[in-house]
Amino acid sequence: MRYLAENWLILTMILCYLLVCLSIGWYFKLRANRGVSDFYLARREIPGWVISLAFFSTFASTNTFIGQAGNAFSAGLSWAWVGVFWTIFCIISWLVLGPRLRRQTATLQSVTIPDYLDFRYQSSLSKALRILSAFVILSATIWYMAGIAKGCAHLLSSVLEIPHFWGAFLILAVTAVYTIWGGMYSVLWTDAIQGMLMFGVAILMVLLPFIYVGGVDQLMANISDTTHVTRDGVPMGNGLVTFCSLVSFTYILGIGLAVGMKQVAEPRCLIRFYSVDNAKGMKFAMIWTPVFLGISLVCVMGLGALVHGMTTEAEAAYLIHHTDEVVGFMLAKFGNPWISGICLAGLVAAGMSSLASVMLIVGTALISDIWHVWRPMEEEQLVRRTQVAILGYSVLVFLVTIFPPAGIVELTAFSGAIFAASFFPSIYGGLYLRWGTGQAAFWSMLVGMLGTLAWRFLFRFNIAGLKDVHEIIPASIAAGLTYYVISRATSDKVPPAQHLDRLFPRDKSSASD
Amino acid sequence: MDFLTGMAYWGILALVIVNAILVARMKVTIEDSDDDDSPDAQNRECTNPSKRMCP
Repeated sequence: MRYLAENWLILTMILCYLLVCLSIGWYFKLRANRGVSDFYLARREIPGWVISLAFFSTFASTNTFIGQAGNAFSAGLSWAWVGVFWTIFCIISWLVLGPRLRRQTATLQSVTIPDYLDFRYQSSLSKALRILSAFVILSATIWYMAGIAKGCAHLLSSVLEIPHFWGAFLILAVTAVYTIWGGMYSVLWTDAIQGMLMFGVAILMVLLPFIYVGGVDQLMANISDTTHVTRDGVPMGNGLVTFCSLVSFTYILGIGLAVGMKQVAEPRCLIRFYSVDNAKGMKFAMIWTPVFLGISLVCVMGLGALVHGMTTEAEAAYLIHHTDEVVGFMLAKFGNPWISGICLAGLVAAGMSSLASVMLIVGTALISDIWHVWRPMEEEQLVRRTQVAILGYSVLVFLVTIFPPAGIVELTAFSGAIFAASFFPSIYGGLYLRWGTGQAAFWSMLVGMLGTLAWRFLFRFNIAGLKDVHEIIPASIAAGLTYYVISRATSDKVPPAQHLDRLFPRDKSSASD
Repeated sequence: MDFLTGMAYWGILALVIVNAILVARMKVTIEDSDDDDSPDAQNRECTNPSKRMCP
């Protein structure tokens, strides 16, 4: 009873939030089960503002709101440069990929990213390319999902003292249920609500350190010259407010590219473009998605550095080694149950929005892009089996979450690099380069994936001076070169002109040729 | 806060504003062709789950 008396407000807010998500899933249950086009893509009839918020909430996750925000505690206000790269890639994604991917996928009647690659390239390796890309999705996302679920469970544990096991179960179960019920409809509409909540929470959180210490001038004075120490035990001095004093720009560039490029390569982000209802909606999203993301990043990416103004030397000495706990510490120190409840709901929303999107992508990859290619099935079976696949994969993620392997946070970031290096050349080439071939797409995907693994495990930490060069940089260059060279070498294998003319109508676009 | 550190914050805001201006002046088209009678459509039918083509 004492527990309920202390936490009733936060518990009520979290329960209301979870019930809203489940209600949306239930509301769309019948509509989503009408067929593949409904369950996978929400029939391409979702308004632009919903897609815009859904893209923002899918890309930004607990990693952003807790991990990246907390990392500024050790890296200082310069950490916001990571946000600059993310914003640039968000803009590139919507300007360069969005409209064209929406148009081509509708023309090809594509419903997943792997089947887009298959239909677009039409080569002897297209089916292998489709299965390879589905395999990359399945293998790379499990670490990401486990990392997000673990982050949410950790949050529920630290704020509400819910055991890690039950916290992970609650988050994964609720997300799986509304995803299975409503498919893409419930994923997008819950994402939109979660996006609104996250946007508000980002603005709210950045205000807390200023309110706590009594104003802008006071806080900036506190962090401009501090005796708090770095991880190496050296006093920070003015390092928190000095450009790249506590972190190298090469490292910022690596994280900025590795995570930011997800927006131009990761299927859970790209699939959003499929569902936009019309050109007006697309235009709205092209303007507002960078606004939602950019303003949130301005608020969040330097937050950890601001928290120094709220901490004692002893607290800072602990937090510098536990930066994932910085946001939770800030909420606890501020000590307002209303604020904590709203922020907790927003942070859980950040995790669930990403989880739901990935669950749907995984289900469609497993059933539509592997099983259905191997043994074609009826539409009703596709939807039913995709739902079962989502459930089964969620159970697997739950097991990984409660028995996490070492270094799961690093693996989470690493999965982003694999996606970017593997998918970007074939997606971009498919959209813009008439001369791109299926052979080039297949081998560039393989080189991107293997290059990421090789740089990480053979070179980066074994050769002096390469530690800060993230695997995304060499792997992307290698994959891009592979795409170019093999496309030129297999120029006789480009798809038929009639097929390409439908994808690159010269009278409507001149960028393709 | 020095100039380069501050530049990250106002730089993000500048980026989204410039993007908004550019897109507002841009003509965006996403029209799709639903009627697909081309020969290559036959090749996709059996692995395209949005169609009831498979036995």
